[in-house]
Amino acid sequence: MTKRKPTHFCFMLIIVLLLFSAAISLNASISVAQQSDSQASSDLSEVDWDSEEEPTEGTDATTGDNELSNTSWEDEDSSEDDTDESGGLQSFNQEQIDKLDSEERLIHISGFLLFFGYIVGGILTAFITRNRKIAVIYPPELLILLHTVWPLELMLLLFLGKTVR
Amino acid sequence: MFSKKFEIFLLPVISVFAAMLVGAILIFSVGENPLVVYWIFFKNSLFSLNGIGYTLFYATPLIFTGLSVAFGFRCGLFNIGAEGQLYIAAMAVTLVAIWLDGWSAWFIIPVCMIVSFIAGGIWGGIPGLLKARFGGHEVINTIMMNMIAWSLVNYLVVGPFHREGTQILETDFIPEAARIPRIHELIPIIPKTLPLNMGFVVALLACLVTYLILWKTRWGYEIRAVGISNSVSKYAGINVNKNIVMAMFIAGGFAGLVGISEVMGYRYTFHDSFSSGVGFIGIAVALLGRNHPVGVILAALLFGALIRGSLFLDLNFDNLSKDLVMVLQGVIVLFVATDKLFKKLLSYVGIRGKEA
Amino acid sequence: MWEVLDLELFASGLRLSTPLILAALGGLFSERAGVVNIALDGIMIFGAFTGAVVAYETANPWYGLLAAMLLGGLVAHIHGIASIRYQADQVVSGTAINLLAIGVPAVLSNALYNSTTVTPNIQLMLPIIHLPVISEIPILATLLGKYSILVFFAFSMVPVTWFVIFKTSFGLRLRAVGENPEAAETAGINVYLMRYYAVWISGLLAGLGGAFLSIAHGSSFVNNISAGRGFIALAALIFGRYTPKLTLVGCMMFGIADAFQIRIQGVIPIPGQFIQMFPYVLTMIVLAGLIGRAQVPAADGIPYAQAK
Repeated sequence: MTKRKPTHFCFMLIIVLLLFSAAISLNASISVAQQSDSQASSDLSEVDWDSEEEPTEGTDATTGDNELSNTSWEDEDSSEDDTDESGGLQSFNQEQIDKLDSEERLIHISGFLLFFGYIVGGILTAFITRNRKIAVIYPPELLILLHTVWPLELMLLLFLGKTVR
Repeated sequence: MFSKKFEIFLLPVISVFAAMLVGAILIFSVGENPLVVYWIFFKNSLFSLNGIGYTLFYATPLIFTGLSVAFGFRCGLFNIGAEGQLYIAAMAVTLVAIWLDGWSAWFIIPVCMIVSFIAGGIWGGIPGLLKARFGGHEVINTIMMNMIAWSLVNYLVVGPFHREGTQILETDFIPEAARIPRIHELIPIIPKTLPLNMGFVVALLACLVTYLILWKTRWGYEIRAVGISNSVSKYAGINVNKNIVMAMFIAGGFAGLVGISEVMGYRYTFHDSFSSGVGFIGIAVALLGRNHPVGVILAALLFGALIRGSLFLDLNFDNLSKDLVMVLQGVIVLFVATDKLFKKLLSYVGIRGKEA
Repeated sequence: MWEVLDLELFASGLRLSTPLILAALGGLFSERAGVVNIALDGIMIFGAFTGAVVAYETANPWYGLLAAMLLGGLVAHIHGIASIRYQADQVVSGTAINLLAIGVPAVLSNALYNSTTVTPNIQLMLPIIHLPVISEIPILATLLGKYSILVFFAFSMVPVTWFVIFKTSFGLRLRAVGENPEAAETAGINVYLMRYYAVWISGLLAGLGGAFLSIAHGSSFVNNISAGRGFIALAALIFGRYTPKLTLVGCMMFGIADAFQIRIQGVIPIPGQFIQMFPYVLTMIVLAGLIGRAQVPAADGIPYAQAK
């Protein structure tokens, strides 16, 4: 048995499973697929088996429960992010909905920019500091810590930025 | 130059102190006074008869799991599965005891003790077998066995063996004949509420047996040899695979003995989730005790005291809970693992060990 | 019963494989550099906790995500320092992290929210992406149409990881350090630094994987949120012979098993607890090498003592 075979076997298995499930889905009803298509905002077929919630047993449940379904798998889109055309929020009028939406959008955009920016900045900083004095003076442990707070590291570069080796 | 014996004692002690220091920082960061907290810890565990009794009581299962992990380590195996092993064994003991209702105590008690060892042993032997035969990493396998054990015993105690007429997740009680005596029945001055039982004596015996096996028999020698080096042992003609499986079996068996002190000596029933991480604390116990039975007893006593003390945290402090003990033992494991760190620190202070 | 095996299952299988992919890829970096990282599960828990807490306190899931990632890196860094600088047994120090992951979140969440087992639900979860064109097509809609943004991120990390490990000089140095640290040192590579990088990256990714569980998939941190996923990810990594593509296959396999296990409870007469065992039993079977052995990087797990 060559080393390649078993994992390729599994890959094939997954592809077969995929085709199989596609066939089943088509068969079960095309209308279901269409329904979940247009109702992309509130996915009912997820709610059923997702909410396997058991009552949280206070502080006793430390190492006892481990079941993968014990956690409260809430709806992924618990009405936060999608424009719910079915008008679920009756108590608000359209203006407030729009305001909430744009607020949310702002949160997401600013958050994403920060997230992405921080990662990219960190990578760039690590790249820049490769051959500089700062990398030579400080032990590697500290260097990693500095990469975590790379804005501070960049400031340090002002003093220790001389290219070495 | 200090002797090796001194080092063996010094480093664990330093690790504990360092861990308590870290714990103090954590306590401080949630807004409490570390000194007060630690005082409550030790006042309730060491400075009263009740306290000492409970300390011994909590230390008992830790001695078992500590021995379990230590035995595994002696063979170079990392047994993280003590938690699952003890659950399976406890359930087995309960079921067998109930099944044997009507037989005399002279029969039931030895049988149940053997059952607890074998049940735990099987649960430990399976990952051992997987490692010996297929090279499956015992760390992951024992953890998987833990998960499986949790699910299995949960099913049994919720479903078919659930005691009728109660909401509590427990099985039926084991018959009178299967129960082992409490210590206070033998020594009058001990308070009657103390659940300390003969299981403690069994634990001490288990330590003795471990010592005898590992250092006084040829077989124990083989186990330790395998623990030091697989390849050298193989060259010396030792059957490495057989020893791996046997060591894991025995390690699992020791963990399984918790069933004796827990079911036969304390609750007289299987209570769902009765172990709050005892199997995992056993890892810290084994490491702190340098994988030696005597060290295990001492480390188990320490953790028993901590557990006893931690129960008073909820009462006295808003912001702390008994999970603090889990944090402490995690830090202890970390520090015990990095003993080189302390050797370095000690050398700065001018104390040099053998390999300076 | 077979109707359970529909595309919904597949979709949720892909979804559930996301944390596994992130953790496994993290493990890949670490193992390739020769550091065994058993602590992936613990780091995931730390990441999940941090993510939930920060996302709640700042009302922005992205901040939670970033915090989770960085904290994951820091926790891994502790493991790294213990294993690399102080040559602790890598499995032991990894276990220490896992033990801490049981205690620290409980203590902190108790101090913050008076509960040792859950944190409050976060207000806003990470966005779900609805691919514009694909949402219209019936089959593909179920399969690809609706995923949290982290899912796309995780899957895209696979080719990125492949590129970094096999096509950059950084990756080359990483692998060299894992295969033969002495030779690497002679060639001028700072073995310690490379290993620290590798462990740190594994922490970043595992932290991200954990955050998925509390920010994108669920909406809070609950006790035992990882349910052993970190270890399953390790098994997937071993299964995938420490390469990104095959590891992906492994993770998908476990993810689908997980989804299957959730789905099929109640549908067939086997009690729930037994069905829950399925992923774990599967892991053990995989590890037993019934589905193949792996070629471990030669210097994996052996502490390296840098020449002074």
